[in-house]
Amino acid sequence: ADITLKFGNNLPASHPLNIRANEAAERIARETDGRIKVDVFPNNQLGGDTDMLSQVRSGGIDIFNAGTLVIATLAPISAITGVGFAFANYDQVWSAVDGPLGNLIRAAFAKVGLHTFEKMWDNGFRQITTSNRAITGPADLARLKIRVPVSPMGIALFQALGASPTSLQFSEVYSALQTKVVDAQENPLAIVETAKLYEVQKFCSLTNHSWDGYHMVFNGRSWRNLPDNDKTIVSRAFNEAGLQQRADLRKLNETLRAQLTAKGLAFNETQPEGFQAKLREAGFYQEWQGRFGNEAWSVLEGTVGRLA
Amino acid sequence: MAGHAASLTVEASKAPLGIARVAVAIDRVLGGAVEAATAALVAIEVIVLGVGVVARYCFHAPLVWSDELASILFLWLSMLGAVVALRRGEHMRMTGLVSRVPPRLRALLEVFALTASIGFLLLILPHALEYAQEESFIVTPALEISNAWRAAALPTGMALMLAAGGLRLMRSGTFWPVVLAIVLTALLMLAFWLAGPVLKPLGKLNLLVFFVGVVATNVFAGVPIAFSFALATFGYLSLTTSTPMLVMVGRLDEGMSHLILLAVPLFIFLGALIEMTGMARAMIQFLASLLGHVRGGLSYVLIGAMYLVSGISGSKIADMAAIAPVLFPEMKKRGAKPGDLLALLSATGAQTETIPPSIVLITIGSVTGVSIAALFTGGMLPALVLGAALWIVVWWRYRGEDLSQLARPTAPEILKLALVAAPAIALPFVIRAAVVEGVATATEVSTIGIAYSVVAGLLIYRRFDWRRLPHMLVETASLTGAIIFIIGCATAMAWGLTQSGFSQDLAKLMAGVPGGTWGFLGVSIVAFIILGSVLEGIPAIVLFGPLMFPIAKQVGVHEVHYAMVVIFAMGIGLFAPPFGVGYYGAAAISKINPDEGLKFIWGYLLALLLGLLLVAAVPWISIGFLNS
Ligand code: NA
Ligand code: NA
Repeated sequence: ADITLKFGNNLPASHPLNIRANEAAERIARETDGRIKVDVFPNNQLGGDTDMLSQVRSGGIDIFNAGTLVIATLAPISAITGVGFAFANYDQVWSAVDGPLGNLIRAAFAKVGLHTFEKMWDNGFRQITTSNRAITGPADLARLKIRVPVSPMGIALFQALGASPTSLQFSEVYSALQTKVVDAQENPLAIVETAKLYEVQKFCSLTNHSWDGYHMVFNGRSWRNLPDNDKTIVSRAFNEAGLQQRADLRKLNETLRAQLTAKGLAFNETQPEGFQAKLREAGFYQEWQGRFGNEAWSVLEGTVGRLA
Repeated sequence: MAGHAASLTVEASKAPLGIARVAVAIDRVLGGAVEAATAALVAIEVIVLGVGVVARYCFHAPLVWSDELASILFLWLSMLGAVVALRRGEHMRMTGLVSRVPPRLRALLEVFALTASIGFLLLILPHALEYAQEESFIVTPALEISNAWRAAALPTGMALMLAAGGLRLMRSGTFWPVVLAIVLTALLMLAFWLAGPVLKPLGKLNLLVFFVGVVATNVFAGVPIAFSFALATFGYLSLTTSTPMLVMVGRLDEGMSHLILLAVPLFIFLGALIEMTGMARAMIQFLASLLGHVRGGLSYVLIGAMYLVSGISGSKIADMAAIAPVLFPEMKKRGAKPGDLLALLSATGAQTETIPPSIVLITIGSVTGVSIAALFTGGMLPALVLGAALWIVVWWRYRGEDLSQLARPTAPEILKLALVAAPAIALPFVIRAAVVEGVATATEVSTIGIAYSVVAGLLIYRRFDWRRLPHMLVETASLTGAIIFIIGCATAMAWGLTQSGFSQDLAKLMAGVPGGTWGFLGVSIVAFIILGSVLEGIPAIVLFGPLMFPIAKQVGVHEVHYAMVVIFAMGIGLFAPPFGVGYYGAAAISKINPDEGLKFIWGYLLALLLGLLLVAAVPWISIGFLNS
């Protein structure tokens, strides 16, 4: 191959994102007659999220699936798609991130030298698992010691809901849940399954409290160096694979619920209104409207309706 | 640091030149300032983590910023600790070959170890500056400050290491060896740079050229291990790939500030505290009264103690740091050879890899889909089997030990010693309980041990020498710097290997080995011993686990069984000289020259290997206790 592109990600090889990324790599090799080879490195093989972000900026890797909160450390506007209880369903998500809100975010990435493919990939809505009680409404979250990935948005969300968010490295989460250093954690179902968190948790409350997805970002210099027709081939392969991955994940989430139930996790569904009211009362939406700015906020509300 | 013979021995001049005298004066000021800073950082780390535990456990008000602050300070601690280690010549290195060459060549190689290190620092410093600059655009998620506060530790530490290295050259008071070593270093680098265009087309063969050839040459020439890894990685990435070199700095950053490793300095400090407060003596006197009349008795205690504490801290080297200061002085007094102690300590590191809650098991579970709970259950007995293998070697080695002078203590004497030792013996149980009861995470638990030791030292044993504290803190920082800097460089090296994509080729090769189940297990053992050695343990699992576990399933090996086999193989590689990072960690912790352990470790490694073959041959040992 004339050009080898490295794609680093943090997900297991069996995750739909890696399966579709490998298919995209094969398609790119085929359509460029082997001129472009994409090497996929799953499982944080090339580093943790923050380091892969710095690698994709410098060109150590070419492609990175940047989680919305990870890349928010570089372009804060990215966190806007993670606002608590903003999206009621996937239709709202995709119309926002494929549309004006996504364009706004991708423009911010371009400003820091990253090219971004138009289609985001899905990580899933985040759900809460606990070892001590099912979460049915905001009252159940009171003083709950819950592990949250460190991000201003995630922490503010759970503080506003009255919980006690705790920062822990992901590698420590399994043990911390087992020994009850913390009682709860929140992640999309696919992570609950792959990290085996169901082995140390009893309840899974489908709160859908925050949507999480991946921007496929590309090192700016290495993108500019691609010939135009190759750019088209690579873009098409990644964007179409992204759409397929969205469908995969949706199906996966349905089967996961049954699978995890069989493994002893007790599921319950929740309604968003109570949580939203609590957030409004705590001034959460107002605070974040201020942080993101009125323009971006009104683009968000244009899709999901009034929040603040 | 007496007896720490692993150090570089460029001695201060006997008849100092004028320049040497000036260098000594500057070094004293600069070195003093850096040492004071590192001592403060160790103390602050203890406080930050301690406050974090109290806030979460006692007040149910977790501090979301304490981990991030601890991690930023940890990078500073490790980098500045590496400066102290360089200044004192305490970066681990192999001097077995260097000490056998003629005196003139030896003098040259002694200086070359330093000039080669300086050469690397000169090459990397501009990229470290660029890296820190790039990181200033990142806002840290918890404290919401510029990430330059963290990243600046890298160029700062490197610049200070350069200064310390330069001052050492000047302090050496010799002339020709210094000039020759500088010229030699420059020529070698020039030669590699000129050879670049020839090397590049070699493709994956370069992995052998750099990660076997260059690493081995440097290691055996006596260049510190960390710098041997770093030079090979820098050479490989800069000459044969288009990787921007700030990526290497990023890998150092991530490898050195991993929060789990924070247990290393804290357990080193805890070990020193146990010794200073007299708790170690109380413990050892009691154990000696029980087992003193058994040949090799304290070696059995060492194996047992590692089995018990392993998995508490999440870091093997940290586990060792709590044990070595307690047992080693007494064992040496009884005539044990330091090399044998180092060898046994390192071997127990490999032996205890599968004891839960091991980070290795959690990693395997996460990257391969095997149940972590099943791995936790499955790991207990295999570790016992390998422990028994080590016991046999100990029994054999100490079977002729002369214990005739030792009087066997009477029961009342033992009881009295037990009472005195009780508060000290309680410490490991307090620590274990704090983890099991969820008071603290693996990383934080050392602060509870430290708090307990301070209280016990002040109130129970009434021995607490405040004047020794600064020295203990600096010592901790220097050791931490030496150990963590090796890990950082190994992390960068692992990245270089990984990005080449060699794992796919190797996995295909391994799947093609004939002999069905047994052939596959055999080739896995050989491969993971080598991979564990060059990839610093866990990266080997992350890289090869997902590739190998499906093949294992195909040839009919139970996943939990296979996990145990590859973890031990990886562990043997990790704790075996001459490349295993774990071996140098054990040497640093026990303050014993890595050369001394060489003669003794092969017996233990052979025992571990035989134990491993047994675990591989009898699946029941790994899966006999699983539920389904
Ligand atoms: Na590492
Ligand atoms: Na461990």
